[in-house]
Amino acid sequence: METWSLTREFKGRRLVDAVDLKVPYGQVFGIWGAAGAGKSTLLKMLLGILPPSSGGGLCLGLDITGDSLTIREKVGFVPHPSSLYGFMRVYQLIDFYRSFYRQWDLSLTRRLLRLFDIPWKGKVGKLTPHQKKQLSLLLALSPGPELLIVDEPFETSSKERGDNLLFSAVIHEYKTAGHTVLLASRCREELAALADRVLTMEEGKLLDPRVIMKGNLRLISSSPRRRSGEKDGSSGSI
Amino acid sequence: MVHQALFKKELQQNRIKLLLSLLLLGAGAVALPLLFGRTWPVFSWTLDFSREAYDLYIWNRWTAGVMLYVSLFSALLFGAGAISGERAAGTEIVLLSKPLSRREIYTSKVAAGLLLLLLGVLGSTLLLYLASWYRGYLLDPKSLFTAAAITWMGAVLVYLAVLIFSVLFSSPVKAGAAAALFILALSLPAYFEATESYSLLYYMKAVPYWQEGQTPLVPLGFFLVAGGLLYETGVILYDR
Repeated sequence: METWSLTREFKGRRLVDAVDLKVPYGQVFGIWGAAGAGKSTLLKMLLGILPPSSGGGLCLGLDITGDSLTIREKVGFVPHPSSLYGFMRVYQLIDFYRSFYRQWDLSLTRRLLRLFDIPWKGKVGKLTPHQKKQLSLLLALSPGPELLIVDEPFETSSKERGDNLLFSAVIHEYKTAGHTVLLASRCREELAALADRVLTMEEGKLLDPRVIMKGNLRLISSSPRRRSGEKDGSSGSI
Repeated sequence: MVHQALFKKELQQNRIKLLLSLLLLGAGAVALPLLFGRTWPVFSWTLDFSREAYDLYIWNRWTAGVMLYVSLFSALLFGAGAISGERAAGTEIVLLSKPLSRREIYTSKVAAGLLLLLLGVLGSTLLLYLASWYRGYLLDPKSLFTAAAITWMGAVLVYLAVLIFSVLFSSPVKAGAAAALFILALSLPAYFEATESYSLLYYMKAVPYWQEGQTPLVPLGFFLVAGGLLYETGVILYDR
């Protein structure tokens, strides 16, 4: 994935401001930023759902403005919030989304349903928000995408933080199979634990990779931030 | 162009609205033959259903009355939340992230709306015909169903226009309110003799086709042209 000066304006405000991004194959790449930083808008532009105001990009070698349909065949996307049709049952929802794809790994679908403990005949409207997120991940992974994009993969409440581990484990397994994952999150610790590389987004801009945000302070590290087992906020890389 | 699973989803999602539409139309279709020839005192008024010939009575109360206004209401009901409802619920982004073009999504919703309106109008007209036959009144089926088809075509044009409001607004309430004002603006000229021929409602009442037995080629042509323009406008706006 690569973008050059990718910009999205809305009512005079730059939601995404001249973003240059390079996401290499086979990595878990993280974008960290507060709510309203422009992460979701950036992800939607990479999928071709939102057209850029200026600039451009490639996703899996395809133009994000011209080849959006082909990109969406090959990319799995988990949006935030994960709103699904509450009036359907789980198996109806899976059948519905399955109809959009040429291929679908039904054995993976069944395995993830068991893993996430989501009832096959259950009403989607009766699932918890986290179960809906897990179901969205299932719907994104079952077509066998080459790239997985997840917006806000982690829950912020302490009650549901345990569920983050299962979600992270599934994403990690997907990455181990040689695929690429792009995560956008407000949860810095969970993102740093899972991602190979994390960039910070603020007010629509991707910050210098040497910048580490610690609350409202910007600290400059001596090298770009990479996942190295060191704690967040230390001098040096994460 | 119409995605089968999306089309079925639309029908399933709108089943309660269809039921409401059928209940309103069905109640009218059954009640009108029963009320004919009777008078009902209501407070200080008297509802008099006895003065007209039956077919004129049905045209006045059904084609130009119940079916006309309920089909307009149904067009608003089905159309206002079609796009804006999904946007407000957050399900639109999930749909757009799948390999589905915006044209396919829009066309599937249009097709579902057309069928829902047809089920309401045709189903209730059939019920009216049967209820009338049961009461011993024979209606000319050609005039009756031709008028129903014209009302349906008018309701479809209103639905396509309401769909455009649904694209423009992110809230189904705002889309519905704006569309309702639009329908009101369409309707007003019909109530004044000097301007009635400028109103869509005038043509939806199907006077020449019901009372004079004319073949509805002009309304069909207008429907195809206007419908095509409204549809394409909606797709272009949704694509942006």
